[in-house]
Amino acid sequence: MRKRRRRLGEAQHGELTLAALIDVLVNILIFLLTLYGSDPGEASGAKVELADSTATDPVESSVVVVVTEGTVVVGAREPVPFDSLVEDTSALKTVLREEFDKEKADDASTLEEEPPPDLVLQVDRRVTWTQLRPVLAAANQVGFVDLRFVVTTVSDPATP
Amino acid sequence: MSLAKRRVRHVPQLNLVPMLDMMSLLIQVLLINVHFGAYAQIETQTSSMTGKDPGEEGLRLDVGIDEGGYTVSWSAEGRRLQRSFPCVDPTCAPEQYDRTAVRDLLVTLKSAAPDERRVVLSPKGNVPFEVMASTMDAVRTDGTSPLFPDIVMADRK
Repeated sequence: MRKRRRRLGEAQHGELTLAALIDVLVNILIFLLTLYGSDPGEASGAKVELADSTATDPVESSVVVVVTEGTVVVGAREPVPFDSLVEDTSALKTVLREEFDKEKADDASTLEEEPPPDLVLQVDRRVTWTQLRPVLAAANQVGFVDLRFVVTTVSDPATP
Repeated sequence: MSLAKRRVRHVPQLNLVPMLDMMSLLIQVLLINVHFGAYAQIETQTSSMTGKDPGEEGLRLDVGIDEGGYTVSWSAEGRRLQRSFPCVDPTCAPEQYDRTAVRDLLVTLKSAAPDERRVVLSPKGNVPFEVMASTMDAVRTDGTSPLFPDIVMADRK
């Protein structure tokens, strides 16, 4: 009877070791937050339905331009509507030039000769060439030569 | 003495339960909202946006995309050759573009000029970006080996 009481008493004072559980949870949290950071769609608030592709090259960070059916968004700036782009691309060029100079200045701080910065384009799959053309022309005139189109990787896209 | 004993008995302990609650809730929210889709990039150049031809020698491969299908042109033995690949279906929806036929032609051209890497992509009119991206896939690789991975976007009105 005395022994039984002692056992019950020990069980009541037993503590759950939470350190291992917390370690696992912190690791999951870090993994999920990293995953969020690598999602190009999260960077801009614009709703973009990316095109499918078999490409597997990881997306590199650079100046990001989001092209949807109605607007063009450069980085975290105000959207530029397409209607104004057709008539005059000067507003877009100004914004692109600022981003180009900023990125170039960042590269210059590494003291190594860097090629001109790339432009990362998140283009909605429904955007037509007529809409995309002035954006690419403006980027080219500013000095962006290499373009990186962001796509969703699929193993086997629809083929005819 | 008795006071000292009491202090030893009441060692303050960190209550981790609220923190665990918060962390598990945070993980649930992140898991619900996370997009597990993999993103990738396709590298291209825009040197032809100024209207300047990217090259005068070699194959000078050009893939035109319009609202009726593809037009592939290239140079061979001093002549300019051209082939058209209309859409499989007259509606010419993005999935109706004959990418397989274009890729087959490009495989033949690649075997004739294995050192060539550049292709000029010339979309026109209201061709959606979806078609451009799938065309980039078709010209970049045949599935196992690279075809023409150096893609140049051109504006040919």
